[in-house]
Amino acid sequence: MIVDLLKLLLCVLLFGSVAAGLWRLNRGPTTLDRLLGLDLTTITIMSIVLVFSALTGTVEFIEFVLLFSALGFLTTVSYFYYLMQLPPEDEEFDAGDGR
Amino acid sequence: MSMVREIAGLVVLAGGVFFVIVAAVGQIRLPDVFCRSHAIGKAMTLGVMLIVLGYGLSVPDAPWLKLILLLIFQLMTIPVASHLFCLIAYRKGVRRYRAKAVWEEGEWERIGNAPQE
Repeated sequence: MIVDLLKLLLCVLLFGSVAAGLWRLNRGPTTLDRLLGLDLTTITIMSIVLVFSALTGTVEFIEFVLLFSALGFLTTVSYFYYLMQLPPEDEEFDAGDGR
Repeated sequence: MSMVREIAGLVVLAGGVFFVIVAAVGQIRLPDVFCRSHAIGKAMTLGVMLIVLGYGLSVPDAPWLKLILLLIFQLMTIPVASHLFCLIAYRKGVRRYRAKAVWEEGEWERIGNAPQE
């Protein structure tokens, strides 16, 4: 059926977004860039689960999606709590030439 | 009627996926932590909200209470995380991206990250 095929195509496109987040996680010049890549990856995986649930018509993954988004936010906030303890002249915050 | 609901759900899901991919492209292309967290905080919020709405439209017996809870949670947490990125980057003195344009060969050419004054 054509609608299901298009939803599968949307899933594949979202995997491209996950690849972008992982690329930024590998590449980013500062720690904050890596954290941004992690954030993008988390939210996109949540979106993939939602689109896949819409493809198969199940309602059993909503709790997983809620817990996963809460875990992603908690991960980000706890990393920030760690980063606030570092001194400002730490070399992790030097962006180099910007890219 | 079921067909109409399926088509509407598919269209809203496609819009959400479009905005998520816009956020990913911004994550790759933009030059700075501040710009990248801007891309996350706006495009990603809209994309995720549209995806949740599209899921609720395309599943017949969708749990709308949990979906509304998820919508409110996303609407609260993604901009807060994006704001925290900018706050920490500002407090730690991450160098901002400053584009400088120089006149060369008859046209303006932009050079990234000019030195801070």
